[in-house]
Amino acid sequence: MSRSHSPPALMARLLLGLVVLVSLAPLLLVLINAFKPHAEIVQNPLSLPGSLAPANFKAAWIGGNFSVGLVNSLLLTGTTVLVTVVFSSLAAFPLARRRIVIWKLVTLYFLCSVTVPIQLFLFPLYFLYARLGLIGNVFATALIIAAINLPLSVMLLRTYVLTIPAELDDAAFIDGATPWQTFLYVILPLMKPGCVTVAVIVALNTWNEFLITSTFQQGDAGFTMTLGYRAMAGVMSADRGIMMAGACIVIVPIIAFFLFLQRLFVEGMTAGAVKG
Amino acid sequence: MATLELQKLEKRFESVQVIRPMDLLVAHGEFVVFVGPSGCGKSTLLRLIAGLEPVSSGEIRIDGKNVTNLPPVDRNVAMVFQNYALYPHMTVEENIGFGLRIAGMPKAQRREKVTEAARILKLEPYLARKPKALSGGQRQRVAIGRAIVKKPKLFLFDEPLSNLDAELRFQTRLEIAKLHQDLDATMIYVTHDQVEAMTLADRIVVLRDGCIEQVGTPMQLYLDPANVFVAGFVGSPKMNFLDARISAVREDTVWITIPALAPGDYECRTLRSRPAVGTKITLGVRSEHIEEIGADLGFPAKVGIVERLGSTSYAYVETALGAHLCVERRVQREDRVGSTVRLRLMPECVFAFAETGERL
Repeated sequence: MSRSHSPPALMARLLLGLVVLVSLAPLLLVLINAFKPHAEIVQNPLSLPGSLAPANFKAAWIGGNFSVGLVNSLLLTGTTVLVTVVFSSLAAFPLARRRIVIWKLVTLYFLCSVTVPIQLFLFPLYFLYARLGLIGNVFATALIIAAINLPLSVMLLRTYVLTIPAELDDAAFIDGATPWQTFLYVILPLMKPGCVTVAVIVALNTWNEFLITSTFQQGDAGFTMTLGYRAMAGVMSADRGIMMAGACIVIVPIIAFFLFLQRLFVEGMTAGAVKG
Repeated sequence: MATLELQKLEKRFESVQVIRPMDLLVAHGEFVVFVGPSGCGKSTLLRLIAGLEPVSSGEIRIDGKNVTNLPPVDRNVAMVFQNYALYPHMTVEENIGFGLRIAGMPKAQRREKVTEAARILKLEPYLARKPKALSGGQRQRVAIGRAIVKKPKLFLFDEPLSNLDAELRFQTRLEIAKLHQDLDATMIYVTHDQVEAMTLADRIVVLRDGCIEQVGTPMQLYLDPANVFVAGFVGSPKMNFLDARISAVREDTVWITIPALAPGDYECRTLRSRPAVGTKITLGVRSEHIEEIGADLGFPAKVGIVERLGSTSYAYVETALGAHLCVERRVQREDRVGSTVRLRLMPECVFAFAETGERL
């Protein structure tokens, strides 16, 4: 009997299958009900839809003002991911390579910035942004969300850089590369899987973000997908079908993004670099 | 080609002195091997020469120019690392040509030089491959290719063969020796393997605890070791050491007592000084300088383990008084384990060392 067919392996697969089912069931329920009229959902939320008519989606798209929300969410998420990945990768390289005497203090600082609730900063930040005329500016809001995500991203990428052999840096220096060239040509390409992980985490956080965006993205023109959905809930909550369709519209782009980046999770990027 | 000069070079890591102030001069085109046990500072010394570690004090001069505080690129050195250190996301061609690309060389010219280096190292069929698709030996050749393509003044090798299997190590060793001949380049080579050191080096620098113990040609170190450490480190199998005492001193001969062999005095003709009678010494004798003699002469020893290498055998014997010796047996004979042989030390080939370890 091969190892993959042994009883413990089969049990593990069964358990994992169950976990997947439990995780996906709510999503499946949302998808099924998105195609059903409200009355049918109330009658039996678990029944399959009679047709795949996109009426609910059309109503949700208009009701949630998703044409504006989609653009804003894409800009907000794109900017946040870009800023976070660029700055965290730039910070991670020296933090991993240099002998930093006060590294424990730096870690503590990062941990503090992760654990301190953002609500503490909301008022001064809002005051500052209002003074600067940045309320409703999606790029300015992206900076705040990026700042919130940076400590964790830096810690993650620093750990990732530590797995890249330092001898590669030495080889690059001997080849005449400056630290910047070493980072750009040698380290950054090898950090790709780490950067993808950070990008996925940050994109998910940003896409689903509500507190910061609801504070700083005021007015219909500044609404993101999440805010649009929230606004839609006020007027259309009576129609569950439309709400389900709206939820589908909100989650489809981020799932597509995740599936796209999943291909880039390449293991063993440093294979062959040094003797294992 | 270049000369390398170390002047009172010292390296400290905080309070730990890794390299004690040392001087060394490497001539044009010379192949110098730094050898020593793990932790003796040989790799650190190489990294100091490469410019990968800052110097604590002293100077490094390449071709007379003080390069102590220059970055690696301005020293015009190339280094081959123990673990290859190939860029895994680049092809063999990109790996070899990376330094040229950084230097801003046009692509066509770069390709020409890379192809030339690949031809020398027989890497042409693998230029489009990535390191993970290469064997250990091919990877090490790529690492060497990356070094030679730059035409550096100085080649630095940091234990380049230690990750290869025995057969490949032998082949690559020959390739490096041939490369040295062909390029006529100055090479510094670090290893802990004294066989590599003996076979490759024009001169060997023996290091211990950050100090140079002795510098000399392989045969100088073998035939004329400066101290007990060098005597024990250079040569395979290791030199036999026995506790002894000076029993009599004549004009050209010193007589010694070796309690672990047999009662009586032994003649020793190789002492460079005349220590006082009664001085405790360590006697060193290589395995090939212990010979079998007829019955009733020399001292008896019981054969323990025998290593048969074909042309030579090494018998590990124990004397009646408990001394363990390794004896080379060139004569084609089958030493039986447990049999007794009578041996003698060749008086003109033994070394005597003072208690401090220095050669007497």
